[in-house]
Amino acid sequence: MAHNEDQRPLITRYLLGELSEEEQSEFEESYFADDELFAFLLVVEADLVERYMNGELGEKERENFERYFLRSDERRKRVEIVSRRMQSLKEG
Amino acid sequence: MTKSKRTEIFLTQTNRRTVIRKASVRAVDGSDEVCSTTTTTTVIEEERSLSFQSVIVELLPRPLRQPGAPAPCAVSGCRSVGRRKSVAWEMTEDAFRTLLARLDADWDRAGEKYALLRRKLAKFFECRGCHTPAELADETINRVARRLVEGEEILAFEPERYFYGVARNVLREYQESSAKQLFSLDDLSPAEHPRHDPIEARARAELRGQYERQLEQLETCLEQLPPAHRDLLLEYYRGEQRGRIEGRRELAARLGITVNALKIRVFRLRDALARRLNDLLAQQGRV
Repeated sequence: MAHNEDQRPLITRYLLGELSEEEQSEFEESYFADDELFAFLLVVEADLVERYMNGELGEKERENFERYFLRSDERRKRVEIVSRRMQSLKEG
Repeated sequence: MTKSKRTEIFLTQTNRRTVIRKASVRAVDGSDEVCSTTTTTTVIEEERSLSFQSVIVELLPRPLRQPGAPAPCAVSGCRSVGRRKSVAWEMTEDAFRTLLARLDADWDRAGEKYALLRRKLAKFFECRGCHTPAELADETINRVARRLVEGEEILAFEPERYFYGVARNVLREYQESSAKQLFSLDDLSPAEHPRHDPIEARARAELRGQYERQLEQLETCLEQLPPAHRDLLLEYYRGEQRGRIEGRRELAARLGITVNALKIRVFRLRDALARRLNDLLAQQGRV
């Protein structure tokens, strides 16, 4: 199944914890059954991190990114390391 | 490199944790020489998605428990879980084979489906705010495998839905267990308050050194990519902000594909790069 930009807002809201429980479950069921959708979820997630690192998120999105997306220790650790790496690339 | 004549899938569990497993698809030629190995372990995290630089990060080894330490359940911290709490169950090779057979009759495809399923499970738990997504993914897989061994029927046409259902149960137990374990810092005595731990600090410093070494290995892997793939990746990540977005549009136009298709293509390249890096790390681990 092909996926397009129309699904990006829904996926972004999922990643930022803005969906209701029912919407979350429905979307999760979808990506468990659809490998292409899962791949697109990862793409949107990568874009989200990139936009955060570049200061491109709106205020609400940034707040939810920091409050919800980064509540996972693993994600926080990775973003910190990516940030450090980007900083060293800029300096180096 | 010769194409495989037979393929083996096997399971390895270390004595450190019950949840650590390796599902390897080994392509073997007639002389039993290993041609290629794909390994999925808890070491390999699911985050193929953060950014190009984070490819290295996703391959970082997870901190393992000390050898000999008990293997707690990922959900409740004890060795038993939920309604099956009387007996600690560990994945066996037979159970794992049964699980793979249920995913696909072809071993290669079953291995791929298993790896993808595990990534989906870990992503699900991560998106739900769990602190140990990989372990909870393994816990889910263990439960399904156990049910299969015990004769429970999984609808063959939609095993993913079944896994998702089990994952939701694991999540619920995790959340209930986490809620029970919450306590206020004010309730702790001064001696119990969090403090700087020199042993932990040293471990973190070692981990940082490891990151740096693995970055070098990533660069090695990049060099080994076909030039067209390497150039595509580098061009994709060139520039910053608006310039980068514009660059991607131009790149997609040059390739005659949509930006979305370009992103998926790059995602797959990164995935291949991550596997290559994993192989390199595994080789070095054997030396």
